[in-house]
Amino acid sequence: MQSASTAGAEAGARPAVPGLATTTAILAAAGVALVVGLVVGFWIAPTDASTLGFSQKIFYFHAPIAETALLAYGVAFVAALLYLRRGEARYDRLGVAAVRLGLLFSLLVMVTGTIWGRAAWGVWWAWEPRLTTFLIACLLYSAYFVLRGAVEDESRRATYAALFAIVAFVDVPITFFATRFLPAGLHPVVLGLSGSGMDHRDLIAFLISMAGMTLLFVGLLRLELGIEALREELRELKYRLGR
Amino acid sequence: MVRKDIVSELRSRETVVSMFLFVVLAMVVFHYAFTVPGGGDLSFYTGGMLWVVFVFGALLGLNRSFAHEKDEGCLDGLLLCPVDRVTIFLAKMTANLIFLGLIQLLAVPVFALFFAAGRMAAHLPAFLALVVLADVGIAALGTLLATIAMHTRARDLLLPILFLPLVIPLLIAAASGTSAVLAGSAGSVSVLGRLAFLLVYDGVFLVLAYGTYDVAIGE
Amino acid sequence: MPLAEAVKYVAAAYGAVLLVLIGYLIVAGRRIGRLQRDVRVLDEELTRRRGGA
Repeated sequence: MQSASTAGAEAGARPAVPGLATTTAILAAAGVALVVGLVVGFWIAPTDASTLGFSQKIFYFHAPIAETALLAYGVAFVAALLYLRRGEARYDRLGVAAVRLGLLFSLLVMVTGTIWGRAAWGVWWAWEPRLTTFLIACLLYSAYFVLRGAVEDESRRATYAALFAIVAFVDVPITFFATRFLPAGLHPVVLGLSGSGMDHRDLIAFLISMAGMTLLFVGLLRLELGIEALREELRELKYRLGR
Repeated sequence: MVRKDIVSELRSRETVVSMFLFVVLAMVVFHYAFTVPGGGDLSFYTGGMLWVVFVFGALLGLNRSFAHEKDEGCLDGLLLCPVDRVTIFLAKMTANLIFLGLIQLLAVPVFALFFAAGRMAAHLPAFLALVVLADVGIAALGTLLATIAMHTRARDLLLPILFLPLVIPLLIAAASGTSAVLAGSAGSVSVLGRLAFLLVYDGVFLVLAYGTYDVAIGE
Repeated sequence: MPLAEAVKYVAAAYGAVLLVLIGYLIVAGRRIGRLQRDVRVLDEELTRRRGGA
């Protein structure tokens, strides 16, 4: 960090978000993948023959967003374990970024889910597995930030946050399997145990979108970490200036 | 370790009384809150009611037991003991478990009186199994989270926020299991399934607590 | 559900996602801009101090 700021002063260059070029590339790739996924989904895959009809097309984003949210929480889980094992602050930062993005994606699951629900079932809300479990996940991981806010000591904050991220992760498998094992009634099980029940063109669209969402997550994660790195640099400078 | 339990228990007799009062009051409140015009049959919801009351009662108890320790500085004394951290967890958890069990022992007859009208005696074993397993889960999860929440500001408000989302699966299993038992299908597969789920859920949190309690209880 | 109506909902869903993501990126961009500005300001001050002292 010190070399970055002195280099910046000497060269007169703008302080950079570390790795911004790669991040932008990843985000661009994500965008491409998502668009391609949508093209395949809308123009190539057939309209759903079941009662869902055209509204099924929401699935191409809804499901990848859901899986990505869970992936984010998984990253937070691993980051928390690493933090507790090694005590390096960067794992704490990774955890915070991952949970934040997990919440963002969970929110999107809720939004797309309720809209889809209104389109498919006629109601804005139903107490069915995926909406309910993601609601719980949202509440749970929001508590992560409440917890962080309530601890004054910085190192303790990171420790407790990590502990909570580990405990909270128990909810992730439950959320993941809820649509598969609970008597859902309303929610279509897409990737069941007996293999995909989807037309293979739907599957392709889904996989491409899934890749796109994952890339998006990675890109946004890098962005968050880059912002945090800038914040660190700012803190460092302030410290050195005696503020 | 056992001595610690007993000592904690004796010190907090007030907590037991308050929790019991709370639980009974809550049942009364529920009766009036859910009164359907035309006198609907509430028996469908009684399982859930019972467990909501127990969960919130447990929260109160957890708050009290830890606040007491923190405020009195007992915790530092405990930490100085040459005792395995995990033992502290087990001691605290057992203390909380005993509290909860005590409350339930007193409250369930009241519950039966208010709501279940004699249906319970027939299926006691299944019901007891549910209660025991659910209690272990609540105690384990609650003790672990309360230890974390204890070190924070606004710990009374924080503990429910941390605890409730994670206790929901347990609550679902316990409540629906209790309703099923009350409805007469005690030996059915679904009740057994719920018992199995509770067992697994308890196991997961006990393992987590075992693995992380050193860190949780602080430096 | 008639196709025309379904299309509206599908569009709403994707639109919402796009909106949220773009909103997020805009906020992130602003945060970055502000941080870069602050870092530069403090950096210059630090150089000035070192140069002056």
